[in-house]
Amino acid sequence: MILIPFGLIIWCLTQLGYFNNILKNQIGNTTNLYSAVLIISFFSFLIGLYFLVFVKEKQEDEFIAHIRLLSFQRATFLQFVYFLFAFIYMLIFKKEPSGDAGLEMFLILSILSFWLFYVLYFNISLFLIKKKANEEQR
Amino acid sequence: MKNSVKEKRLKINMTQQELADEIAVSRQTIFAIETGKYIPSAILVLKIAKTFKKKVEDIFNLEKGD
Repeated sequence: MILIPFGLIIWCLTQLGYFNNILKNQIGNTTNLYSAVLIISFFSFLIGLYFLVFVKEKQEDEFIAHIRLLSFQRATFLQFVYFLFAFIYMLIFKKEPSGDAGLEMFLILSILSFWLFYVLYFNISLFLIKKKANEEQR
Repeated sequence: MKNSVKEKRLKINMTQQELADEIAVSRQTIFAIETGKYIPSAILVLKIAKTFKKKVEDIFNLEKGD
C-alpha cells in the first residue's frame, strides 16, 4: 500500500527535476541514475496500485464479484471518455497535453486512469451499500 | 424479480447477519437481495430456500417484465 504514494511522489518530483541539482553536485553524470529512479518509482507505484486493485475483501462472495464486474464496465467507459476528451484537446489546441513528453504522459495516464477509476468506483459502491445496510440495521 | 426474503426472515426472527452466516455471504449481500438491488444466482436462491425450508417459488417471483 505504501508503494502507491511513495512511488508517485518520487516519480513526480523526479519528473519535475527536483533531484537534478542534488544528484549532480554529488555524483556528476546522473543520466543513468535519473532513469533508474524514474523507472523504480513508477513501477513501485504501479505494483502498489495492482495490489490495491486485486486485494480480496474479507468475504468475497458473488455480490462483490458483481460489483467488481460493474466497476470494470464503468472504468472502461470512463477511460473511453478520457480518451475522447484528450484527443479533442490535442486536436483543438494542436499540441500534446503536457509539454515535450505529452503523448507519453497521456498514454501513461490512460493506463492509470482505468485502474484508478476501477478502484474508486468499486470502493465507493461498496462503501455506500455498507452504509445503507448499517442504517437499515439500526 | 420480486422476493419476500425480508418477510420470511423476520417471520423466524432471524437477523441479516445470521442469514448471511448461514448461506456464507456478507451482510451487504443480504441487504442488496432484500432491497432488490441484486438478483442472486441459482445457488444462492436454493440456499436461501433451504434455510427457510420453503420452495423457491414461495420466496422468489417473476415480474411482468422478466
